[in-house]
Amino acid sequence: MKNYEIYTHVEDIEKLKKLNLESIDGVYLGDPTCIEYPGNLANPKNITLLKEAVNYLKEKGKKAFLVSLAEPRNSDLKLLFEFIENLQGIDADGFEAHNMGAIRLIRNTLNIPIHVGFYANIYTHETVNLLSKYNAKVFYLNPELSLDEILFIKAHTNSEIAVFAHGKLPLGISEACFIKEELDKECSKCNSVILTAGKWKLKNVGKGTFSAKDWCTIEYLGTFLENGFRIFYINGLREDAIYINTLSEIYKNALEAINNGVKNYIKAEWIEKILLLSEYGVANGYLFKEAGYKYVGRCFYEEAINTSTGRKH
Amino acid sequence: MKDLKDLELIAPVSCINDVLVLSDSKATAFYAGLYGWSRASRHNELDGDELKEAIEIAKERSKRFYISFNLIPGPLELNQAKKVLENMFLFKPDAFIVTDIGIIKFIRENGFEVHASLGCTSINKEDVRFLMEIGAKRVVLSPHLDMENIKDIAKEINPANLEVMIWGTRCKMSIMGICRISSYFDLEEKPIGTRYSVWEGSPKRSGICFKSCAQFELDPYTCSELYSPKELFKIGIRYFKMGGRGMKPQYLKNLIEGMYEELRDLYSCRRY
Repeated sequence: MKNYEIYTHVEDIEKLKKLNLESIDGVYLGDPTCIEYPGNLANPKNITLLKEAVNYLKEKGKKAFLVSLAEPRNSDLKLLFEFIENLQGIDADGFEAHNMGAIRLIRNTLNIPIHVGFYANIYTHETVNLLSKYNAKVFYLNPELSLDEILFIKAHTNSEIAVFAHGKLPLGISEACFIKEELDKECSKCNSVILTAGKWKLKNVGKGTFSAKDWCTIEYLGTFLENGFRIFYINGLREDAIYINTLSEIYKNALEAINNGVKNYIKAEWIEKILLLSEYGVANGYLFKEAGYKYVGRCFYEEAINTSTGRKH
Repeated sequence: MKDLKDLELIAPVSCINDVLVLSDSKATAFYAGLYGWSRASRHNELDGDELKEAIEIAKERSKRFYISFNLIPGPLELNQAKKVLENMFLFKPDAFIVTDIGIIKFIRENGFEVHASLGCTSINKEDVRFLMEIGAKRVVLSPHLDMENIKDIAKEINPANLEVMIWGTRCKMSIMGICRISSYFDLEEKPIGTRYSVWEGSPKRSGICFKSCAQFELDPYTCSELYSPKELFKIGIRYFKMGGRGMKPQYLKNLIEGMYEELRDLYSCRRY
């Protein structure tokens, strides 16, 4: 029996159908940063598409997770409640929530495991254990936590702690949409934009701000597996299907190699592919008590890390 | 303040002198951060001895006093956080202002009143209900709510459980409490006071945001009157928090007096 699963996010059904699901075990259906994103499966108006998406995944033997808005106001909670009431016949495996109020609402109205997302600010095992009483089963910890803190939390809870394996770091959510307000674009043309200040870059996706660099834990998967982590997450939000397909295959092969006892499991071709996809470089600084943008490891040369503070081996 | 007896104007204090100056103002409560454990800058916090003295002065002047313990401890320092809190319990503050939900529960279990901090990012009525369920008596609403949202919450939640920051900072880049932009660019682990690790650069873990987003020319902050006290008063809100830690107490006193006068005119004429 496999001792790991790989999960990702898609915003809409078009992207879902472009995924190669061989390397993916579960998909979060919807964008939690903005309900208005075109075709967003987290939007109650798109429930027919959501049903189709869930059925599509279940037919292929994969897990389907519902998604709620990360920062819901009262009016959004009302929509969430109506959304839940229309979920009959949808056989989802979990419901992602980033907000305590949404967690409470979902717990009170639906019998479904809750996955607590990145914006919920989970920093300690006591918070994990408290929220497990609200039917929360899977936790995405705050990415600021160091590796030893993550391992400590895992050792002090029975809940599932997901590993943020790869992708843009979610750094914040704003009230206003940067793309609509600063760039004067309509929702139908929603895309992402790279903000630049000298050597520093951020990726803005409207209401969400992500890192421009890809968080990358390829060198540390062994540590996570041997400490009992089972869920490995690749952030697919605002990335194309090629990105998700390539990275999920790499991480699946890496995890398989580790399970098969391969000591130097990282292949040069994987590093090349990661560098091709991670246009602005890779990062994992938080794991080592450094600023998030930094990278600590052996596989990526300094020029590929894209900062003058990256380490070279 | 017999004509506005339910009103609480809560002022920040950063040293004993602030307490002494503001004791003569219309502020009815003070809050101060415990050194190393609050969202204030380190030089705006009070150590244990200072807090003890500040609480005693406040009690003598019939003012309430809240200790801010609203940074999030790391998982490895939870036991230390609880030991520090147990020392604070001896000072008998009127309440603690807290962000971490495990700490909210711990303080409540020890019989003290808890106010859920701004850092809890309470933006809807279910957030408030959740925090009250785990032990908060009062919830400070997020400054990112507009008046309509606050009215909506106050319709369904007893306003006696709600507090609003009426003067302070609102960040445009990210909703307060969930931003990691600063720590993404700059993060430094340091021991501070009784704290094992303060992570400067992470607002939730150290209170210190380096405002890295400003380099992107995004005009990230506003600092001003966030809400009209009159409008809040009309919908039943009675607990008003002032930001401005580190501001000279005389300026803060003037702000408080001005707001009190506004509210007194409203109350005495029954214009709501």
